[in-house]
Amino acid sequence: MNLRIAVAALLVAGPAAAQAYQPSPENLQSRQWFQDAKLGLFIHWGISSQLEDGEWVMNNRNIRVADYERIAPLWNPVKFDARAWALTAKNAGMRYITLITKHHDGFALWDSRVSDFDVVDRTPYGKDIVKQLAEACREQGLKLFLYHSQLDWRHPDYFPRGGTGRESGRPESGDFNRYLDYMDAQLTELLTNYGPIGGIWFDGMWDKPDAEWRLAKTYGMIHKLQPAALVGSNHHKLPFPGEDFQMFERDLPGANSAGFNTTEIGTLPLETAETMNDSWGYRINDRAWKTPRALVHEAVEAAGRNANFLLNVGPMPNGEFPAEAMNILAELGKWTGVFGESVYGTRGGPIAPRPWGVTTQKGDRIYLHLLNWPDRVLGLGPVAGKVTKAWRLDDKAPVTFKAVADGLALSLPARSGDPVDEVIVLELSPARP
Amino acid sequence: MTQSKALFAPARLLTALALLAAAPAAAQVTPLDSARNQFEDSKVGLFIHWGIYSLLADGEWVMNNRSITSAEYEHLAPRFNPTRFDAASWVALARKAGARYITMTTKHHDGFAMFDSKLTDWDIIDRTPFKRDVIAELAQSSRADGMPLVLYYSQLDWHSLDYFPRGGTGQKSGRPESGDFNRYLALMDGQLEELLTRYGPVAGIWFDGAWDNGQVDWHLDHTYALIKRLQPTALVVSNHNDLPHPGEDYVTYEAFVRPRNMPVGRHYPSEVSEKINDTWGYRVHDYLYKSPETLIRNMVKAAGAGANYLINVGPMADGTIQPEFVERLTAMGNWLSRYGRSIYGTRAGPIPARPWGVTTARGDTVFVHVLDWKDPVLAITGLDRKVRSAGYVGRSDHPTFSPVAGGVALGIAPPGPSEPDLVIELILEPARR
Repeated sequence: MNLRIAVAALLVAGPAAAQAYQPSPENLQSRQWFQDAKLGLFIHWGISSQLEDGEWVMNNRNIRVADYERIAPLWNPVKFDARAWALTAKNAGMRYITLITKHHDGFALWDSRVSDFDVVDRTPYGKDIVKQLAEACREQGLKLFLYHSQLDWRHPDYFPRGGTGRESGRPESGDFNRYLDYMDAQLTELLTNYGPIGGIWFDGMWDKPDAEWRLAKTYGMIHKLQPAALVGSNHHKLPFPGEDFQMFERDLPGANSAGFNTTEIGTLPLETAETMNDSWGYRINDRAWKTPRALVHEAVEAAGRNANFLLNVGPMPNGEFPAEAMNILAELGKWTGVFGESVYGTRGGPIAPRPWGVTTQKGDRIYLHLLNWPDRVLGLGPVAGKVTKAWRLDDKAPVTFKAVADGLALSLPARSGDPVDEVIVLELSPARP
Repeated sequence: MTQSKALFAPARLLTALALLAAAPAAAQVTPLDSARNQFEDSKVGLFIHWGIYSLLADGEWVMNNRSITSAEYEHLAPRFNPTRFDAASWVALARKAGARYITMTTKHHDGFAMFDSKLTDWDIIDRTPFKRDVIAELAQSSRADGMPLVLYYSQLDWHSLDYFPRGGTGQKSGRPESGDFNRYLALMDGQLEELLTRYGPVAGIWFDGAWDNGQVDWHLDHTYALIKRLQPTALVVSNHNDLPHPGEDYVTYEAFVRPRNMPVGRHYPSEVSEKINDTWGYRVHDYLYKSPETLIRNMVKAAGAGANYLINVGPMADGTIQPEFVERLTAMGNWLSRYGRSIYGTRAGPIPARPWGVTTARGDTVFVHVLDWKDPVLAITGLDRKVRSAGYVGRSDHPTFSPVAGGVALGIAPPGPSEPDLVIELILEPARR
């Protein structure tokens, strides 16, 4: 390693430099946009999809690199239609897409110049996936975030090995800094050749938590190439300096049902990433599909906790979304079509999550999301500000309210059936200047 | 539960009783009705799982789970010498826990009789150095204390040669592939006759294990008639998680897994059995203790569903009960000594389970059990009469109540984090007759 670079890296990575991260104005603006956007579509796709057994198949079945590479020539996703993906996302109410560019298997979904292990050089399909989706997103007014795995089960310089990818048949040697140079080069490609990028969604650092990942260097490079791009990393810890949002894998912020999430919530914008069934990448026999209702509930629960909801789809090897996923996205679209104003542009509301549901707020409007409330009366604690009007969002039916004890008692209009979410709007008298 | 004490029967229950009997003389309450009624009033029971399996400290299913043959399992009996067993202290513990009956295993699936059976030598007198009739001692101590005793009896038997054809369990017990099931049933009926004739008044027989074999004729009508002939007020129940068979007097189900079919049209008392940790019989490495608060709240939820709460202990092989259990039972008893009037003698309240909690009722009094609510206003709906007064159980201050459209808004001081249940007592206007 070049001594000058090493010293520079140490300086950049040092605590003083770390505290010095000052997000640019464009970056701060992006964070606002991100929090307003609320809903995103996560897409897990790659040559791993060809085996229809989830994106961890290489590691789980101890497939060696040499054997895994045989999958690439088999992958020919002739039904892939970037515009259809973007349109499906938009119609579901998604405001951004987060696409796998390289997962742990190291396969690049774009035409990389620093590796031939990519879709253009190794598959009969031969076209740049990232490029097509970047264009389609631009057309549809969606932002594109790029998932990039720091962990790499194929690259020989990903050494010393971490907790996974140990059966890949690679020699027990390698230069980790050379791997990081390679990663930075690939990130540079992604951040220069595909127009404005919403952000970089890192994953895999947990594989070697104690390694020197040169985060400051990589993050600095990203912020320099695209100051508005947000950096986030799925390391399950409080964000490190240089990161712009905090993500939670398959958990609401503060929860840890997954077993590996932190329950600490930092001050950055938040995002919950969730699967539609039990897998991220397509798995032919994963039948554990969640109901549209359960997923809408989780999206609303996330919004009530001031977090975005990044809902994943694992397209099939041919490039189509599974029918179950299409149905979920269609149902989500019906919900956002009617109830969108109660999530987009909102922040977590003034009342913390309650047994009956959550609240969001935008300006003078508080949205009560009754996710679990069969009764037609509802008691609330004190509401800061004076409630002047209350109604149900979808049918504008008036809601009466009465000051009781130290709070407010609402009498709700009758409802038929058991709606996915009953949204009550409380309008406050405008704050005095 | 055996001798009919004239207990106050709420109007609701009398109505239910009137409905259940199709005969014109419906209003007449039989001694059996009275026993069922008292069983429902008692609300809390202590379940005891004890047998020679406790030596292995791996739960009551250890014989089956480890594929121990009958011949091997028989080695346990000569080692079973629980010199610290003291029936009176168990009854005292039940009393301290607030339990109003005890349900004791007389024979579990291992077929071993914890009483002196003349019909087999596979019992505690003939096979163990202890040579004391545990059931006799417990029956005597219970009687001395006025504590009703329900006897658990396993229909399934992993030891009897005549338990043939085999069911879904006990297949690795090394028994010959032949046997006379009717002879097995005769042994069972004979042992039940022993239990019902030699140990004084028995409050009930708690069957388990018929689920092991759905293909055989258990001649339930015969057995149930035998029980009623010997002790007319002994209640019959079976843990089969199915609709009650004729002759069964209440329904029981494990934890909160309700049977798929709950009886409709006829009122059945019900009971929820629950483990303090995760095992019925003693398991040395079961650390999954529920907190005292969780147990109290589950007991309250059971009462809110109109069900008794049968809380289990698995005593150790020396006859003592582990301190973790004692501590939790004591906490339950302490809570009941303060709040018990909102549990004992109640039935399910007029408001079904809600996100905030449950209700119980006795006469014109409705107990609102607030289990999950943080706000100073709780609005409830579903009372069929006006509230005349409101108070707290166990506190001297009062909640406020004010009618709102669709219900009543209660102004409450929400429960503190250490309070498992905030109990509000609402006295309603008397029902019009």
